[in-house]
Amino acid sequence: MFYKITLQRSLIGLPQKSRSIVKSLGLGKRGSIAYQKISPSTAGAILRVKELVDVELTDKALTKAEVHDSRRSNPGFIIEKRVST
Amino acid sequence: MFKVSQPLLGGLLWKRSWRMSRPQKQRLRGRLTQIDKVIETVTTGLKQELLKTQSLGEPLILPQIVKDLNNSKIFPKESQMLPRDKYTVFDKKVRGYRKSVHHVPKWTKISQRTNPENY
Repeated sequence: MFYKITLQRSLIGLPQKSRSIVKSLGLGKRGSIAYQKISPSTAGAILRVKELVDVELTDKALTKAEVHDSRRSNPGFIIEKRVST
Repeated sequence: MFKVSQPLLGGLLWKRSWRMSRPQKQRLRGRLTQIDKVIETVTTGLKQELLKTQSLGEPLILPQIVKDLNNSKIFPKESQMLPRDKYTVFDKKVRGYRKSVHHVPKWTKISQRTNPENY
């Protein structure tokens, strides 16, 4: 089981302590997503910055590339066949 | 073009009203419930994970912060809070010892749910 953590609020004006906790969870800018294995320490870290993040429970952790793909907007066309050059 | 407004005309004007508007209060309640939701999901996830590793009947050993944030005496839920505690905070320098939460620096990113003892 994993925590899917999304940084909802920006870190502007926040103390170094909460900034470093957010960084240690693998989050960067606002809206970034990180997956963390559920453990007492990750639970504690999330609860330290509970005002800033949104959390969901998932069975599978997505890689950074998969997260990027899932967030891609609709291109408006479908690739039927790739032509080799 | 010069537009007349109270700050431009000089004189004393508090830029932040002494009370919160209704939508401000609504957004505040939204943030409180959102934090409650985060605490709930983190706790249920951790409990499920610990149940997998521990043998049945053994008491769950939760970190102190998880215990504290699920304790209504230390960190009450939005639904358990009085309107007084939701919208105002204790301040020793203010007449009546209460001021509106929106006067607290960084108030939208801070949890301030309980009062000092006897207040």
